[in-house]
Amino acid sequence: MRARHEDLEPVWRTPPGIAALTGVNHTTVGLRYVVTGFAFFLIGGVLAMLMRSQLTFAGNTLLDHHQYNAAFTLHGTVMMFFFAVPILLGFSAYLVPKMVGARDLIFPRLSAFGYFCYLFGGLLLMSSVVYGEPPTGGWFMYTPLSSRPFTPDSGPDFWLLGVTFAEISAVAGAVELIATIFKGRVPGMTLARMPLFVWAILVTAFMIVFAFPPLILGSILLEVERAFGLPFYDAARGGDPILWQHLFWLFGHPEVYIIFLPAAGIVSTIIPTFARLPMIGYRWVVVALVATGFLSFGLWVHHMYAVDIPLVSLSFFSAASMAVVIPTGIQVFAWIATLWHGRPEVRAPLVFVMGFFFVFVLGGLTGVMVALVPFDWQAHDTHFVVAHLHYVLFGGMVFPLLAGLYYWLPLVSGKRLSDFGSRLVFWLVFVGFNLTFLPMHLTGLVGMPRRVYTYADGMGWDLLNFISTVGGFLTAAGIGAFLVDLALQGRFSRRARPNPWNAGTLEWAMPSPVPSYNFVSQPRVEDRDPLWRDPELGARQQRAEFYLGHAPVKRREMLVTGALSAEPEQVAILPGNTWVPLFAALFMGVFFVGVLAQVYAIAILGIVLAAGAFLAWAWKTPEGVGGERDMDAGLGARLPLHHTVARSPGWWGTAIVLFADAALYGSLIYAHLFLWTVSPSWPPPGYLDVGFALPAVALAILALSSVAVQWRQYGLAAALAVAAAVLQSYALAASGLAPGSHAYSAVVFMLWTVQAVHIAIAVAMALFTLRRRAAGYDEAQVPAVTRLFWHYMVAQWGAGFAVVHLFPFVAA
Amino acid sequence: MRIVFAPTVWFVHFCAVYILATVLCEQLVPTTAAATLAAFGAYAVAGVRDWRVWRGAPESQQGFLAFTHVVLCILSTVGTLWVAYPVFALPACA
Repeated sequence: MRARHEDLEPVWRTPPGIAALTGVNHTTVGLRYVVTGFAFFLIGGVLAMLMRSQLTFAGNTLLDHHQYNAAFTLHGTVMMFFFAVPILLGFSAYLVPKMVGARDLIFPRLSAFGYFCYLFGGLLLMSSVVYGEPPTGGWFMYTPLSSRPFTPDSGPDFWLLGVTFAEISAVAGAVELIATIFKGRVPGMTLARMPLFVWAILVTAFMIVFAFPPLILGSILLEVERAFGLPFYDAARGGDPILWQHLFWLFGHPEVYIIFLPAAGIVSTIIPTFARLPMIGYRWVVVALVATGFLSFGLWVHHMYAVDIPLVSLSFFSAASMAVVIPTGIQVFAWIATLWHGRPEVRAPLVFVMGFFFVFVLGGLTGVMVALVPFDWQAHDTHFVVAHLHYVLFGGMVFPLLAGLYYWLPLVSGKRLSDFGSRLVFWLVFVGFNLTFLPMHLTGLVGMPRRVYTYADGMGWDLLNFISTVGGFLTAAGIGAFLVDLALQGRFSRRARPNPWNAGTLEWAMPSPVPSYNFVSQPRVEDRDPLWRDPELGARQQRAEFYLGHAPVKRREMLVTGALSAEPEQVAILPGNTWVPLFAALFMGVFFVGVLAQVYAIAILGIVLAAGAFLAWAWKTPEGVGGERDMDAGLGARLPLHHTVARSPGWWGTAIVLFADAALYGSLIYAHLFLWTVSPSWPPPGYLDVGFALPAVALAILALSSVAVQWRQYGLAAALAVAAAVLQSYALAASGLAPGSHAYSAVVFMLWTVQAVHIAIAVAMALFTLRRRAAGYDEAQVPAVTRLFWHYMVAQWGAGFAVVHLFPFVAA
Repeated sequence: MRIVFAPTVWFVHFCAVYILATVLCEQLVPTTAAATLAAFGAYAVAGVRDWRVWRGAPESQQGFLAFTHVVLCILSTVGTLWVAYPVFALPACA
């Protein structure tokens, strides 16, 4: 018996009303991200208009300097952290499963949790305005300006906690996307056949995994310094404010490409569709994506040319900045070649892509200029940089985003797209944008610094600023027209036929608006553009001709395939709608608010409640005790259920989380080594007596616990880990290390504190595994995940021990 | 995931010269030269091997990944050369 829409919909749909908050389906969560991201875009846009209005005339008094500082800080923060990254994550959450033929993201509860973290983080940041203490230190929140002595109000705390909360969501989203791309592609979709958008998201997600932890760590350190006085950035006590700049830009430069690569993926999807031609140079574009992903980690100091760093070091970053031009150029030429050889049909999405070309290439050219050290010294902190970064970000991200919104609108709404309104939007935005930012290059070159709330007349800046403001409002009118156009399209457009653009990718193999389960049966694909090879694929998957097309449908089932081979491996039973992600995020919010208000009892309560929610999350799995271990997946494949397999999606997800975790701990070790290189004496005199023997014994005991876990002696392992933690804590306490007195002791204290948290989590996982076994669960997934985390935790302290104890011991 | 080998070597080389420039001065030129030659050697070995894989089976998934890696080896060579160049072009201890 074959499955039909009526069988699948009740199992997969998100319920209406207040219960919609329990929805975990990627279609629901993805759209929530996009709508919320766009709301933040409008907030950031209003702030931009406030700034432009203030700068219209010399000596204008619309905003005072404090309000202006808040406006540019919130504008940058909102646009980068609460619009650009989340809306692209939302796009990916919505599209990636559909493009790879999956029924959902592989960790549905994690996507819902990530969304709520993002939403609450945004609300926390914006509440600073209501509270009357908005952050004013600029979107990169440089120390020492943002340290307690120079900003005693709560502005930086709102920023640090709000942004960190939202970054949890970005990392969660990245883990989710990587696992889904590796394990959720339909059979036949090898890496060589993966849509370029999915390639772009895969690279981006890995970049998030490695780039966000440095900023999360930097933010934790700054918040700890502000709240408890541990001197990481305080030069008087051995710290260094430049450390913040390194940690920030270690995140901040990859961030630019984290925003650009998904947008490039959108372009690489739209161009072949309208050129009626498979992408020319597919392999070269993949090379370009991977190369950009790596090179972007070697650019961070090019934001810091004006810092006192040796010229030869600056040159490395200048050279790497030149090198990253090559892969970007490869992509641009591949796009041009595809349009050149095809017969382009110029519809609205392609018009926006043309706008992207013009604006982004100009931004790239000024990027080459500011990547050169001598030029940058001239242009640094002027409006030239503001013009450059808007050309890159608005051109590289907003134009492709609008193109993508129009392109996939028929998929969401089921309506045909009319071109008239969208072309009006394009011209308003395109002319408005260039009118704002093209003259701004000159404003900067004639010397106007950025981040000044007003200026005297007669400096040659008046006319240029006036033109920029007119252009700014024209852009705003364009965005307003976009919203009107969207409403009109939704109201008056006629129904679209399936695959209205005759695209080749799998998301168009489903009817529109898309059903909650995506595919009645999960197809097998033979080509990069499966719908061009087999236009009947959509109809066939709806006739349940492929995998998992059986009835009755009792639960959410999804095919899991080999990471490289894309051959069927397992069937994942996905969890249904639940309140747990919402409450887990709410309790995390309680923690953040507690830290913000410096009422630590509330913070601890939040952590305890959140831990409880996570335990409930882990315990309440859909497979239950006993029951079946494998099932018929259709087309003659009999596959094990995911919880019976050690290398389940959960194991993959944990492995990816551990990459992010290692990046966080690695950043902390980097902080330690960085402070060592700039410090006159490290460790400072009198700090060498921590001793080597006790920590070495503690490490040995911890290593033994790894053996115990491998032998599945979870109770013994937990006891050993606790013993090691007690011994190490005693060794540090006995040495009289005072974390507040010097950056050295502060970093050592943090290295051990982070490790102690890991030990606590590992012990909780071991006890969980024991309890699970006692309750009669017969599963391979949970023990495999526990072992993986445990071994990582021990290895991490191996690195921490080497830095904290072994290195000074050997050096002494 | 063999295709990340070449860009990883690039990144390791990048970090190595960055750290060397921080802690060394007169010895920077020979150490950078050694690190750069080692990186070139790694690209050459991996690139030639994957070139053969690709020529053997150009249409397979292995061939696709091998081709991707060959191009990444070339790109990484350029990237490594550019990053190392300032050490030789600038006066010592600049």
